[in-house]
Amino acid sequence: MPRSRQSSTLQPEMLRPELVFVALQAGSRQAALSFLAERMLAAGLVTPGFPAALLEREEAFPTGLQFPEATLALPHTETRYVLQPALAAAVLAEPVEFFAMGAPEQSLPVRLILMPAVQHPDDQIRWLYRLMTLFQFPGFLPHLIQSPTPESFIAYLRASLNALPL
Amino acid sequence: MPSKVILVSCGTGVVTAGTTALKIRKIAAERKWQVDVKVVEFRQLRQAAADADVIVQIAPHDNEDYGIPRLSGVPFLTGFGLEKVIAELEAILKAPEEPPQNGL
Repeated sequence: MPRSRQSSTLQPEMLRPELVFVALQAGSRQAALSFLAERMLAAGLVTPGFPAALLEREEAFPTGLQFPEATLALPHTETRYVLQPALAAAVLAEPVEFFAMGAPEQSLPVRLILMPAVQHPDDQIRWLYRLMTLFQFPGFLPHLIQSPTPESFIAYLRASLNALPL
Repeated sequence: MPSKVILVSCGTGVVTAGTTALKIRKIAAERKWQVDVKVVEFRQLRQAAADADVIVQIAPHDNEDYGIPRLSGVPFLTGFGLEKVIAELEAILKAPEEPPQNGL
């Protein structure tokens, strides 16, 4: 199967329970991002430079996004730090401050972090696009945030992606 | 009629610019715009702007004037203000060509 057709859907190995955290305790966005980035590093998915690059990129280009029912952050950094495409995610026990994409002076309280590690943008763009269209669906973000376990988080995300028209 | 060039830029040119570019291409197909949508990283923006008609930026990294209009691309991601930015973009794309500045 050609690679591009394979990775245009969200492959199972891109979304693993060990990279998804519900009720994560973090005192700041830096603590939350470091935690997720270090898990990606430990899983061999990113280079050692990834955690620092991720935090730097978030400060330079904040990724907070506000939707009607929830806010989220979409931290990411350059492809050169990524060895294998993956998505890490966390629902925080308490909101932490992020700043808004395109409006860096605007503070947003965020509990949901979705951290894509993109290696080949042309391949991954399709499911990333589909993921981002889900954010605007009424009920999607609150349901995702209330996931009781990493497995239910992943199952709901995957089912929602599959339910979108192609 | 030659295509107009839309540059989509963000800090990394990957996640948000890529998905925004895809959204713009879909809108362009629906509205039959003759456009070429390119994702550029902010470092390449000045050079790319020389051959483009409009910049859709997710995160402005400076306040420089590159000689072409700049719009915020965040509405393509959030849906807030989407109709307005589509209208603004369409107006720019449908504007008649500017005469060359140096009279060539």
